[in-house]
Amino acid sequence: MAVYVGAVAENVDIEGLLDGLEGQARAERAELVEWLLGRGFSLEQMRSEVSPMLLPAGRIVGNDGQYVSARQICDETGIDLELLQAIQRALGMPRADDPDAVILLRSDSEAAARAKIFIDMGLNREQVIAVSRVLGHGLAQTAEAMRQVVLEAVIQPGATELQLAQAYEGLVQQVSPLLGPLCEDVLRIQLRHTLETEAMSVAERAAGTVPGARNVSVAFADLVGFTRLGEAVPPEELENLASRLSNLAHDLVSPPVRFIKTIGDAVMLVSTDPVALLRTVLELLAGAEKYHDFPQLRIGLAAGCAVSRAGDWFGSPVNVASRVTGVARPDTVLVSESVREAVGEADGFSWSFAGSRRLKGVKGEVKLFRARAADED
Amino acid sequence: MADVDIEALGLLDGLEGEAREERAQLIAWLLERGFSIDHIRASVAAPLMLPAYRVLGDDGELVSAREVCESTGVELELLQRLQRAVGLPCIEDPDAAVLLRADGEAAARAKIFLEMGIAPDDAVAVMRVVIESLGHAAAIMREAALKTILRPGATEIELAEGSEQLALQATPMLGPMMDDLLRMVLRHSFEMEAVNAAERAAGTLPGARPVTVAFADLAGFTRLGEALPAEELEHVASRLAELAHDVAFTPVRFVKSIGDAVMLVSFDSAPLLAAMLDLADAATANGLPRLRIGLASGCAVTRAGDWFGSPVNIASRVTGAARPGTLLVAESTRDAVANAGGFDWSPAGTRRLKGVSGEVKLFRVTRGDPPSR
Repeated sequence: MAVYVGAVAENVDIEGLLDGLEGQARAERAELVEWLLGRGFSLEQMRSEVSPMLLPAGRIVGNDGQYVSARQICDETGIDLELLQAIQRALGMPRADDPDAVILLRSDSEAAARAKIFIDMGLNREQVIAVSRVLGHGLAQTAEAMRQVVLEAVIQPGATELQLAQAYEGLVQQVSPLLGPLCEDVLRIQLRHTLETEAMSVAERAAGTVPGARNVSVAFADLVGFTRLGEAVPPEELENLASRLSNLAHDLVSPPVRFIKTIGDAVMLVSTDPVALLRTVLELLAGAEKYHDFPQLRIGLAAGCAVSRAGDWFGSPVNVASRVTGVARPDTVLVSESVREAVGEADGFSWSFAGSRRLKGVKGEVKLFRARAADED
Repeated sequence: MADVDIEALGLLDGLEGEAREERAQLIAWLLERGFSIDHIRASVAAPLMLPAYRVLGDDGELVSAREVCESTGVELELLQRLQRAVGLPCIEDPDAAVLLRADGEAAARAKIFLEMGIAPDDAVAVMRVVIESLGHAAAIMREAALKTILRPGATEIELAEGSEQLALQATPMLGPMMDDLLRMVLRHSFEMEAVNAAERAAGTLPGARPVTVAFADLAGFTRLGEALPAEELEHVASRLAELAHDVAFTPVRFVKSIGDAVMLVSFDSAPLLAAMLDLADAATANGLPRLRIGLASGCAVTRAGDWFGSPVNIASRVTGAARPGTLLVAESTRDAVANAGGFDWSPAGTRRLKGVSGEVKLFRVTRGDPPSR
């Protein structure tokens, strides 16, 4: 192999691509470069990549090294320049200040121009940009999750760069045609499942406005001592704990309770039905207690008017629930008076008054109640 | 019409006057268009969306979990887990025909991960991320689409027709768009993430890496929440997220918005610091409440687009310690930025931060002279 690499290096100047590499790593990179050249990648392409190893896989998903200017894309697709640039920004693509500079990957620009579908549907510019932003962010997270499991599937101890490049290319080739349809199906599910919480009221339809604030209950469940833990254990372990909390919550949640998001060391749940939500968080608490080596949870609930936007919720009960969670003792579920009243005398819970507290940013005192499952001793 | 008693079926329960009349008209119209009574009844919350949902794949065909398993080759237990991951109700009886065929088959798409040799646990985890992140996209698409068809006084039938039209227009484009956009983000995820020699030798994924993490928090948001209607509160939070997206470009990455805060991260600390100063200016220029900004550096791991590790927690605590309108960094970030130009530093004392042992040295940063060339 060494002889062969030496021969290539004489013909083509690959030295620049081997800078800073020595011994085995240098030989491996030279072997990779040789293989990539044979597959039609230019030295220039290799130089511009953070990881030349991923070039073949990148080519399969559309990185063909063809560049265009923003103006070219506008001419071809009929989108105006200002909107195209705004969409590119919203999708997190590299920005080009000069519309005539040929520096945008053609496939990237064409993907951005797909947002034209929303204009054709009658959305205004602000809406198109907002949708692009959320869609781009959501897909980036999706791609990140997929990329990690795919990498995990190909990576083997001691694999050379060439072996990895080949394995990765093979896998991406096999899988990439299926990922688009998967995302499409998932998007369709989500478009179909308007929850009862988002159904429009007669009054809203009469007024011609989109669904506004709803009366909902909001819960946060927080891992106790997460910051302190973060100083003591490696980041991987921290991630593992947060994932377990998220998994546990996902497993317990079913309509009318909705899993909204994970926020580092916490999960957020929302429901129009306070009883169902309280039941779910009590199960969550019991589930976490069963885990070995798992931090305690503190859980807080509040109810009130909140508005849903792009799958997240905003309004006083969200903020208050977060503050209530902050004052809950480890291993307890604390609810604001608003939730206590909404749950009323529903079966299955036992209550104790936990005093009135001043919560930061909330006027006056908030009466708090501790909830337990009724069969608890 | 005459042979179906809409009223006796409870389809008009809870409705009165004009609303009741409109609903009766809508249901008659749906029946004419071939929707079955069962299909209509199953959609109590929003029968007016049925035509649009039919275009999007909900043909009302119900199957059992076992049937989906047979047609897709996914095992029952895994299908049930995937159902939960996708946010569909748990299926108690695998032989009960209660599952929308389109939903069941979509969940079973996760099979491609199993065929790649990926563990079922990981496949379920990926599907959760896909659902959670695309759920947000679907929600905002739905909201925007609704806005285009809503006008004062529209009847239920008009809305049903309008949303069906929009769905018809969108549906052939959804596939190519999702495919193109997903490929785009995959390409960029390749660029961000090299696999280094040590990681290859060990046969493990890129692990913890040194990064700088920043949070920007709207000061007084809880108080604002008590004073403003929820819709206005949402506008304030959304505006912050938009501005944060605008200042985040390579190498700075927008990670997420968390209610009244945004989180950004970068492998390179100086561009992140500059972006956060830009964000503070943009917030002022756009009339937002003042921001509290905090940064910290250290080793963190990324998973499904989020970040975990000490700098994330510390940056959050530093943000809490910052006064409204100021930017504070932990000593770790002061060291990471080192001599990069364009910043003015002033010591902000040492602080005890909750959950962090010992004291953390803090620095206040403002924009300084432009870097010399």
